[in-house]
Amino acid sequence: MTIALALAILVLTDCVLCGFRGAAGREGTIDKLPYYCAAMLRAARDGVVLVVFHALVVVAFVATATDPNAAWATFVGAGRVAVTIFGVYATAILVAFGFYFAPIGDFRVLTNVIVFGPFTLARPFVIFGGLVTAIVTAHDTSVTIVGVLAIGAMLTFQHRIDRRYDTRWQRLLDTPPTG
Amino acid sequence: MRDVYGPEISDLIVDYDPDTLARRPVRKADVLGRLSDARNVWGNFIARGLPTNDDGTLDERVVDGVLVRSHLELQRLHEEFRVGRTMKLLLSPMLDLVRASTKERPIRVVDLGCGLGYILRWLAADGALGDDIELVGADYNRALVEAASKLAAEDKLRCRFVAANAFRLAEPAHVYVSTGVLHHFRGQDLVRLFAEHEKSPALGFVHVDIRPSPIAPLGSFVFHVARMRESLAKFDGYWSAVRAHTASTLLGAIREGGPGFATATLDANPGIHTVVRIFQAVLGVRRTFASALPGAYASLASRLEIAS
Repeated sequence: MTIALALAILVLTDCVLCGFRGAAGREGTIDKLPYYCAAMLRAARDGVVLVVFHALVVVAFVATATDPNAAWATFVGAGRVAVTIFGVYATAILVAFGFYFAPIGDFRVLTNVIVFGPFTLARPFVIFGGLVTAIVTAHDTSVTIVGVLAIGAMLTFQHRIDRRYDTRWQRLLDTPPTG
Repeated sequence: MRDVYGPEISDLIVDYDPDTLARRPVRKADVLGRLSDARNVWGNFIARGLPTNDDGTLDERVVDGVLVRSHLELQRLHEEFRVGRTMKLLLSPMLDLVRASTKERPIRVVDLGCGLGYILRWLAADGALGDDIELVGADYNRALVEAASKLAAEDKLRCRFVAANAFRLAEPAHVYVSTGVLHHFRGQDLVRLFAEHEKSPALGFVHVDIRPSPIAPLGSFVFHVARMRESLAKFDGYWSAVRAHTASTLLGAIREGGPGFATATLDANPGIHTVVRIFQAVLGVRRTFASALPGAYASLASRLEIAS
């Protein structure tokens, strides 16, 4: 259960950050704290739906397996691999956040340029790599199905969040174009 | 002198009559031709995607949409890198100098090429410059000016934006400022920009722009590709870092075009801070109170270089 919980926390953290990224660069007003909070909460809510959906699929596979204990152990093993890979990535980002919020302006720039930019670009590869490694390690059909579902869900999550803010800029033009 | 780097896309897709500010249609073929001449494959690819009217001119409403979206993303960059704070840091001592040298009130700060006016809106929201300061943003692009006005109204900010030539305002500037604008002026156009400062009654200027460095293009590329969605914003942001002016180029242009100003630079040579100080600034005051410049900026002495 610890592995499942750790995985859920990692997924929700990623979803919250997706919410921030989706909203960033779309709103021109100066005080954006309520805007960003709303965006992150909304993404977290979507993340909960995602986690619950995958949890139910896992429960269904385990419950219908000939040996439920062995099936659960296989999922936990695969989850451990994913948590290890995602955990390293998440730890690096959390450490960077420590520097980002330090009261030294130069640290903020440094983390932005050296960590957040490259790590944002790396996110899809980390998700794909982590889940494929988990699938290959488990060598199990049920894990493969859940893993493929998770890859699809997580790799499209940012795009789906981004679309919420696609037309936000239009209020700034009197006669907004469609393009 | 030929600009070896070639233009940004945003330099090409809008055009205005410099006297009337009337918008002139832009032929897509001309844009692609200019980018091809500059051997700019990436820029050319992006510009090819812009829709045209039946006569081959760019659809102005679509162009305005691209520019508004790109400027929103640019604002995010300025937020991340706290450019508003940097401007306040530089502008506050400048305004103290101006207050001491003129009895005129309000003291007018004009942001030339203000775009969405983020810097002025940030300064207005911050409110630290004082009640005797009037903040005016000027830009040729009416769509950006209207968007800036809407954003200022939404935040109930005390600043205004006009579609105008910043040097032809009925109420002229006491201080000119800009952010990320100088590198758009190349060669003699940069000299002419400072000649306009010289001819104006302005007492000073603060211009902030990207600082060129060997690693700036790579850092800029990663940042823009990772953070921005608009293709034009990705390319122009990266290209800005490639063709950013060195401090010596800026100071040379000021010496030639605006010799009446004593100048200084901020973060032009940041030493070990080169990775984190991605912006530099050039500032100037009329020579009549040049002797007060080092004292006014004493708190920034370690980052400031008095040029002349």
